[in-house]
Amino acid sequence: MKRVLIIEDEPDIARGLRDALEFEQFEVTTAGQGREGIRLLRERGADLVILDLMLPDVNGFHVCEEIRKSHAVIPIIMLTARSQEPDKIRGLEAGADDYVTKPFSVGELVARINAIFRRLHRAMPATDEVIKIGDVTIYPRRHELVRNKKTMTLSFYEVELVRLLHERAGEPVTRDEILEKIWGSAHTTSRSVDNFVVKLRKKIEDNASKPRHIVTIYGTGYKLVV
Amino acid sequence: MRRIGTGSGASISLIVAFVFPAMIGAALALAYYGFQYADTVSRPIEALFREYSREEAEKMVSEFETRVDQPALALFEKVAAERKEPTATPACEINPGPAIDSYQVLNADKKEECHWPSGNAASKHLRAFWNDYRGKLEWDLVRIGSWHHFHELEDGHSVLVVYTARKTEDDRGYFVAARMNMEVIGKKWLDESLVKLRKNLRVAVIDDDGNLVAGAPLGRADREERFLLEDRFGKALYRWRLQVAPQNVDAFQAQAERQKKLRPLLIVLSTVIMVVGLGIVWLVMAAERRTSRLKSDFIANVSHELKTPLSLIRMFGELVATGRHKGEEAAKEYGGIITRESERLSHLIDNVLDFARLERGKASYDFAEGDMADLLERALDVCRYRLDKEKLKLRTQIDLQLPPVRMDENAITLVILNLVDNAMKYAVDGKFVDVSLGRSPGGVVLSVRDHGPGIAADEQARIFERFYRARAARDRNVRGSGIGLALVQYIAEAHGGRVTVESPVAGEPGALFRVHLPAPVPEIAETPAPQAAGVKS
Repeated sequence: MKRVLIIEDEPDIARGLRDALEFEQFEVTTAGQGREGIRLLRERGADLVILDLMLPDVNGFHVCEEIRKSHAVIPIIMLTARSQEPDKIRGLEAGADDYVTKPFSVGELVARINAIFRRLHRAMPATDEVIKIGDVTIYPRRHELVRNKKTMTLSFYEVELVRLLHERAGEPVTRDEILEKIWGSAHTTSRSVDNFVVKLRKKIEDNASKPRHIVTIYGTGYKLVV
Repeated sequence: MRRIGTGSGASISLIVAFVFPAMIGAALALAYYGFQYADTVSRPIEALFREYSREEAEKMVSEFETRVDQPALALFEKVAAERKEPTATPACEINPGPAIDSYQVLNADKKEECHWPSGNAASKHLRAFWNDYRGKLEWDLVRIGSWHHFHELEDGHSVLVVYTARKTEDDRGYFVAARMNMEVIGKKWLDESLVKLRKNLRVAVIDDDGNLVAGAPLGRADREERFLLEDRFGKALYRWRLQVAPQNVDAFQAQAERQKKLRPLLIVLSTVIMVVGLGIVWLVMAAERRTSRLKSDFIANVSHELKTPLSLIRMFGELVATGRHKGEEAAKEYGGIITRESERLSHLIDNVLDFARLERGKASYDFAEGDMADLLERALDVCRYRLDKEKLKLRTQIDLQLPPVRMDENAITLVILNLVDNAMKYAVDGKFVDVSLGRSPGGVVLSVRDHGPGIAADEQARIFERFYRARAARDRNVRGSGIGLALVQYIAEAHGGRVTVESPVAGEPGALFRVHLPAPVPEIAETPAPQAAGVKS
């Protein structure tokens, strides 16, 4: 049984999510505060975290960063009323894998959680695959990227995006294809793809504003230049 | 909370960071160079005079010399008309008018053909004059159709000859020379021209020998010479010079001195005004920025406030609709949550709409006499469910013998709901919320007290400002829009009352809000504590 940790201060939302996810056969733990959530994750572990941004004790972005320090791969879905583009980018930069804005559909949330678990299971490389892009080395299995002797962590979706672009290196890959193959649902928009590309460029490129490796093909998508 | 930058916010920051310092620097530089310039200008006061008078003098000289040429040019045209016929012989019978006292016509070899006047008495004298002057005029330099001047001083008098070269239609060249009547030109016409200048200036015309031609002599006193401007009659009467000086040198000098003192003062004043103006603009912009920031926080807060109950309604509605629940009991509970959150949403929308009306200055209330105690009971019933949920105990003390209060019931209900909602939000650890209604001098007082951490002294005045949210609320991410207390204050004041806050309360933690409302009839005696007989707890 997959375990989901919900970090949400509004008790009714936490209650509704718990009921809905338990109904879907997930094992659910809830925390009303950020620090409590981090502690519960360390003590009991979880397979996925649903994280509210506005928490009474610690900012949700900070909680996300803290979780990433100890759990590089665990999928994190941010759940918040803040739907502005900069908030989403900030959330993704903090290490979140997905961003769901309130009011949300429980059905959609459950579908997203299931999709993440399916892909997580399917996507895990069997061998120690290594991807080289310029002077950057990526270890998909370890969710790590090494550049200039500095190691950085990659989230689940970042690894998937790199792997897809690398498989098709030198060819343009459309946003729709990326969405279909990585997110696999209609709930995510092509803006999410762009946001992840922005994150990846910051890690891979020397100058993210003038990318040499992940190149934009205007009106289509992206192309990886190894 | 992270604030999202806006375009206007960025440009205001740019103005504050770069434009204001640049403008203040420019104002100070202007003041500095203004002082330098004032000093430079005030040194040669006479330069001011020259600048002031030169234009008038030049205009007078130019107009006068143009007038001098007119009679000679008219004569030349008349002679040309007379010689149009190839066979015509010059007779010098044209009367040239008073400005010309004699003229002579010469053939291409500069031999006199005739002169005017030709009477015997004048003829001998004039022949001698023209014989003498024929050698002095520069005939060879005169081009056909143009005219030259010859101005000579002779025994303290001026002689002016205007002469021209012409051709007849059968190509025979000839010359005409006219001697101007200096009695007419040098006295009558010159005086007429000088009259205009004499309004503000003293004027004189002198010749190259220093003889006074017209006006009163100038330039003898040193002081006058500083203010003396000369302009030569350059075209016709080129041996003459026009001199001008101020009518009253002392007055002019005094005026210049005044300007010298006034100019730095004006520079200082204009610089001060500019800097003060910039300061005021800066303050207004700072206030505007603050309001803009608060408004943007308000929008974010309201949107968050709206989304939370909406999320709950949608989530539990969906759980019921799709059967994702553990049975009938859970479904009922979900229904209760949906109802409660709908009320919360409705309350928030009422607040926002009322506040929007208030912002537009259109908030108006329907006043009617009503029972405040009854209204309070009804309003508290709405809050009881949430108080129970928050594990807060509501303690009430209501005086049932209160006089009727003139009020808008909906608005006062909003006041009560906002104050109780505040107590619940900001004092969740306080266990109790105390609400009391009693008499006050001239009216009734509604008190809502929480036992939470309280409000810092420096924030107690600001919490009634629109969009302002207390630090503790922001730090703890307590939901809220920042308009509740502003609305409470507005409604209280619209009812002729007021709202006050006290924190801590008699040394105890927490906050006490009091809303005083007037109750005009009957006259009420002050009773600080509710009467036991008529009090419901």
